[in-house]
Amino acid sequence: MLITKENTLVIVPALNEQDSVVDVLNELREFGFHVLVVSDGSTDDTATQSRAAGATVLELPINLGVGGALRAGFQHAVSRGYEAIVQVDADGQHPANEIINLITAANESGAHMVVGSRFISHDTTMSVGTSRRLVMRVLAWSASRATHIVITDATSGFRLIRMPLLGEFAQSFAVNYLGDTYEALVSAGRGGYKIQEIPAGLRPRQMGESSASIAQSVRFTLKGIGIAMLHIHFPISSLQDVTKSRI
Amino acid sequence: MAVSPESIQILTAGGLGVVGSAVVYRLARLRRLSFRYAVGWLTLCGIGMFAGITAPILEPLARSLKVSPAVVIALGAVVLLVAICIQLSISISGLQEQNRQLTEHIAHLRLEMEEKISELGK
Repeated sequence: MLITKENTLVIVPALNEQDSVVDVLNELREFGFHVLVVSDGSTDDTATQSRAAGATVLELPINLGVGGALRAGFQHAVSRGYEAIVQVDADGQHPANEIINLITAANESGAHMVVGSRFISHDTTMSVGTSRRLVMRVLAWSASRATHIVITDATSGFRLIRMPLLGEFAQSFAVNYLGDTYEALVSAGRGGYKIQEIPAGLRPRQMGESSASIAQSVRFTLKGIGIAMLHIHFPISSLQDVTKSRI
Repeated sequence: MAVSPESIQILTAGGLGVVGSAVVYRLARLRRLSFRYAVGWLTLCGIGMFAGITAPILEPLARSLKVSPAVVIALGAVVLLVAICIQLSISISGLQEQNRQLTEHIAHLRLEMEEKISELGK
């Protein structure tokens, strides 16, 4: 099925992002996207401000982590009959105009997951520190090895996911750090789903800090690589099985 | 009369077993510990309590392993502790997933309710 603006839900997981979420929502509204904000146990006015900005808000009573918020969003998308979702951060890093590029790429290639990569873009305004870049390189290398697909940005949270992969992720999706990005890539790739990367010019975050320190990043990287090597990533039905069950 | 080091070890294990059993029993009575976990911990404490009785039975095994019976008892307790820890980890993992599903359901229901109220308002 062709992906359009109308059958795509933009999911914005947000934890205490009252200072930036309204700008992000206003920008998304300018482009006419259907938007769902998943307030991940926020204790500030994220949910109220998002509602006031015209977004549908799914309010998790406790904090589940990005992966948990995303799975709740995926479930909402599947139950409302959306064909695809686009993950967008609430901190303003992902420009709304780039979403069209993800949709166009998915329609042209038929990919089940299209990832906006920060490292094949020429016009990105985002700078990444040396140590963080090294961690990202290691993860990209590991994801490429695990999936047999060339991945340049395994930790990009700017991505489009379409059915039937979306349906699988609505049932099983990791909550841990890197689970929503790196591990999701590994699970999808090993499940035989088609993954594509396109350049995406991401911006520096408007508010707040990165959710993990360098030490944490290294720890999570080692954990992520271990998960891939030991094949203990979250399980999903393979594309072959899903296709068979539909026939 | 001199007490052998083995006897001291066994008496210590037995004493700790009695204290442990009392604590576990108290927690179970206060319903701070469910029956299944109380049974596990009481079994572990039981090993300590009956260390004195089981020690002579374990003598041949201890001799073949070239260790004292107290070491065999301690080894058994460690194996049981590891088993309880693994079982607890499995339980916690299951509870985490259940907690996640419950949280998701609450969020979906809350949204549906808000939408229904909004429709009724129109």
